[in-house]
Amino acid sequence: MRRGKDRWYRAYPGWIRWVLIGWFALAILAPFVANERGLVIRYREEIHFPVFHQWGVDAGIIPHQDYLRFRLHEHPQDYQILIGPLIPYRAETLDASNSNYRSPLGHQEISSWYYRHWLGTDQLGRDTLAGLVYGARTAWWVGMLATALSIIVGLFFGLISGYYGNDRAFISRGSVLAGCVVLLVVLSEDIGWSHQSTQTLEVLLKWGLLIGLFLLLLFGFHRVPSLKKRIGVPIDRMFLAVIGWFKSLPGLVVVMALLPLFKHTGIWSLALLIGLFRWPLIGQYVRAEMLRIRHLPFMESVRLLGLSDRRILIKHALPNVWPPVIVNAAFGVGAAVAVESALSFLGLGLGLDQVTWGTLMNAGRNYFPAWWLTVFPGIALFIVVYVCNVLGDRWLAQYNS
Amino acid sequence: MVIRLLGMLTTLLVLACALFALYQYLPGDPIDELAGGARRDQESGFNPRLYAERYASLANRYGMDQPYFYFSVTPKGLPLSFLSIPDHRKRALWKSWYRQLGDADLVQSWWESLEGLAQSGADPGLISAARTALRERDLNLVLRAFEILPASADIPPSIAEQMVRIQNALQQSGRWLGIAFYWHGPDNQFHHWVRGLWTGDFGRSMHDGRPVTRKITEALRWTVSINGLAIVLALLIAVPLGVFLAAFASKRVARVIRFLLYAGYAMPVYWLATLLVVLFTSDTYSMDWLPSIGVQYGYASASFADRFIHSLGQLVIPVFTLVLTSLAYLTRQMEKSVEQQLAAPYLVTAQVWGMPRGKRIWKYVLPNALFPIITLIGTLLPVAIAGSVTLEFICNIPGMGRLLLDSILTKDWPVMFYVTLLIGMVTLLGILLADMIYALVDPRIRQNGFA
Repeated sequence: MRRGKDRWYRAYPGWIRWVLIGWFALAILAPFVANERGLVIRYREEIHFPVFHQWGVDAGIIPHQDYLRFRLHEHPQDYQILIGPLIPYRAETLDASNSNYRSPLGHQEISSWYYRHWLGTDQLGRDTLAGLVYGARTAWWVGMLATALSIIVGLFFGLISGYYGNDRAFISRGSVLAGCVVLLVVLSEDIGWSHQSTQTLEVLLKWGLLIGLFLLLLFGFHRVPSLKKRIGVPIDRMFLAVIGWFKSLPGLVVVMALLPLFKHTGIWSLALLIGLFRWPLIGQYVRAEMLRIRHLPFMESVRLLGLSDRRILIKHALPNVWPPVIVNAAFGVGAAVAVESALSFLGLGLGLDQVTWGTLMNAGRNYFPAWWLTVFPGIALFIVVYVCNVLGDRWLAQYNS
Repeated sequence: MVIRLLGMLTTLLVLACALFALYQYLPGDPIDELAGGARRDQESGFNPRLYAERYASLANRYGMDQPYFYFSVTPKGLPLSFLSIPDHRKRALWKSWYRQLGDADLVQSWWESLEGLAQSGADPGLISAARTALRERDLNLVLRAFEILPASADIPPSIAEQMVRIQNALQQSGRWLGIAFYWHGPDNQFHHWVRGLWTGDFGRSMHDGRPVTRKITEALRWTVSINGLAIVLALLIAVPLGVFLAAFASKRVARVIRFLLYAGYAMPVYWLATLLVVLFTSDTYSMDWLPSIGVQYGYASASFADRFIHSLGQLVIPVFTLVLTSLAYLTRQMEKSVEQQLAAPYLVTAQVWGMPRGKRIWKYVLPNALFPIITLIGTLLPVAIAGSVTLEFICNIPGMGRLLLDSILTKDWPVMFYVTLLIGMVTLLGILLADMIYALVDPRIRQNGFA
């Protein structure tokens, strides 16, 4: 069955692959592309590798060295660059002699062309191009993490709701009863006893044990004959209701309203929030696909063979619901990047300690003549979103045909 | 219809509950900030008693000194006063201490003496230990923190005595305290917040003390009128354009238009708006064609309609951007819909009858192709509202998005809660409206029982 549509996901314009590879490379190699330290330098007649060294210092492997404090554009003495990074600035590097919005076209206080700010600087003298490089890195991680999260959650709930539908999931009365009992015990345990320690590990262990017990009772109760009578659980209907809640809300607004929950907004928390509002979409497509293949002969036969539900879902259903997931993932990456930069633009997302495309654009609003701060990050964002959309569109068209 | 309405109400209620629950875990304490708690760490100018009084009156004013919900389940013996501590961190801390000690008086006196110690001019090590202890849930850790202090830091006898009592209480831990169930009735924060939705009395803003209702109605007008205007304009352009693309345009023209629309779709709303603002509202690039951003407030007595009309110049950029972003999607759907209709057999029949092409398309294809577009408005609305958040920020329009942003930045919880909820409500109403129009124009839906 999959033969006929084999490799449909290869059908997209070739340049898209190169844009994506370039983006990925920037995300991984940003410190080597744009850095205020040299890759290979000679300092006091000795060869050093400051960028790698700094990486080791950050990882806590090697001690800090004297020469790490030198910045290329300050031309330290006894310091010779053997191999320099492409851009001799980091996103946060302050070039004091080129502060106050130097235009990319105008005059810049530089000693050689190597130190030129090709895309200008902002008020503090930070290089826009370096900002773009590091912004690409942030955008990549937020986009990918958010999409990965939404895929995991969406697949899980979509598969389950499509497979069980409204008629296949049952729960015995005994299990409901036992579940209530266990929950009560858990709550009373947590409330009623005076207890000594709130060590995280202990609490986690306790809860893990109790939840494990709860699950065991939930799924193992049908072996006890007296409470065997089963009640149907309309999983599909429940899932649709939850999806309805998510779909009727403007995601950006709710993400904004939830952001203050995190004391420090990092890549992970942002990805978590964005993924939270993306999974229903993926779950919805997975569910539809699952409903479609649910009664196909191969699914019926593996059910008749008596395979366990988990095995059927993972081994036989999962490979067949991938197409809508990856089509949606392509759109999702673009949307996540757009939301991330919108939040940074509004001053809510990352950006207090990290330069992103959004914060650059925000800086451009403060000083109208600095068009380069608005134009270039916008172009970067536009390219990424456009590429993701084209990819998704092509896949969708190919898959539908 | 009734079922739809009930579904909407459930969605709203779920949203309200979720938001309310989450707001209990927001970091920071707005009442503390209002009462001037930031000055606590400064050496002078902080009067603890005055602070406590202000804190209590402010907490009372914003209803923060009430229990969260209709009922609470607590360990037995926990005084009700513990449940109505406004500062949620302190509340959780006291509860946790109580669960370790089983003695409410000890908890209270321990807190008070720690606070006294932190304020006093004692040894700096002692003060920092007391400050840590005021945040730490695990009393064992606290005791240890005091133990490792150097002998020179003489711990006051009252603290030392309490530490002995705590030590004793901790040794007896693992006791069954019992469970108490309290029913608070409607005097709880959740009830007040949700009742606000019903009565329209949203309380007062923590930031400037103005009634939230007035702030929101003012903002809602701007958001609704801008989005409404944009959607109507987008429809007026998208419908003929879609028909043109599907039925009349040559391949090359269609491709160009499609590319432009696609580019408009992928273009970040706020980027485009920022560019337009930078280009056209100032003299920097000698294209000062539009008035500078921000709407006209005029004098206070001017009606909203007056102000809206006077601000039309300032609304050009946001409306234009909103139209452009929804245009691509609408046109694409319209085009698809027309294409679907063009393939329908009834058109072949019409052609065989000799009906001219224009009449076939405008009289028969267009109305049928319009149906799916109506439901699209419902799905477009959340996107448009989300987009207008950034637009209001850029163009300085005092709408809902701007209000939300300001309330987040100033930790104005009541405004944040109600604005989010109302944006959800407006979206839901839009979807409902789209469905109703659909039922109105499409007899098939009406007959199948619109529910």
